[in-house]
Amino acid sequence: MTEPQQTPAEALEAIRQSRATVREAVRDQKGAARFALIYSSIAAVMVGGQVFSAPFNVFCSAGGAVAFGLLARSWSQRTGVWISGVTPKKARWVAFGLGAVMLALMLIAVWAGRSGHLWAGLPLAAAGFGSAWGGSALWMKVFLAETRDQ
Amino acid sequence: MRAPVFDPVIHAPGRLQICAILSDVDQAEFAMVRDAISVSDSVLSKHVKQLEDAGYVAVSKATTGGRQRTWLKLSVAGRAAFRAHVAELTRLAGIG
Repeated sequence: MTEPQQTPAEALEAIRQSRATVREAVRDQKGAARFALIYSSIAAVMVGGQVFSAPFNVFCSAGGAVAFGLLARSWSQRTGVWISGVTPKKARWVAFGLGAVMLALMLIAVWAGRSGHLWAGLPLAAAGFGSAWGGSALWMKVFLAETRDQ
Repeated sequence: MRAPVFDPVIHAPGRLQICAILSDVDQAEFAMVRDAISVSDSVLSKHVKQLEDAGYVAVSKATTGGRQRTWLKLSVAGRAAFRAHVAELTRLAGIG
């Protein structure tokens, strides 16, 4: 196999262009809004469902986890890349932060359910939806900036 | 910051592009990488084999929807070698 030599500047430019193709694949303009809608809806069900007693709360959290897995698999098959969300150094903190917010909302929902405040499930689900939507948008922004700056 | 080290295995144009793509993701599908760097299946396979032999890339196969897909992943050693190589290129180019 012929392997032409390239100058350091040319090599760095080739790296930059290759990374740009990854960003284009990840950005996936066509499916981004649909992905965010489904992702946020799953998060809303997982959070809001915690106000109910077992087995409904378990069904919501376990079913949500399975749905997240199927969504991630579908996304990776469409884009051709798999990103766990915690690989890029800066973007991983957005993922951890979003996970912490979701966990906190779920715990509040559990407390609300046990206190008899079932009505709280709806606003908490809405908060979960909004947090997931905003968090995923922020993660994408940080990921794109991080991979562009490297 | 990793010490700059020139790596001749990574530096070849096709392999450099493969490593650049894989460095930003956990895994990338063979077809996606092939299309991104505009090479044939056989050329990409040869590059991947060389990276695999160097311990820089891991190859796995998964069947989904009745179709087998090949996934490529940069190993820990591969990520370290790529970072060191990029650092050396940056140094040689007089950037940073």
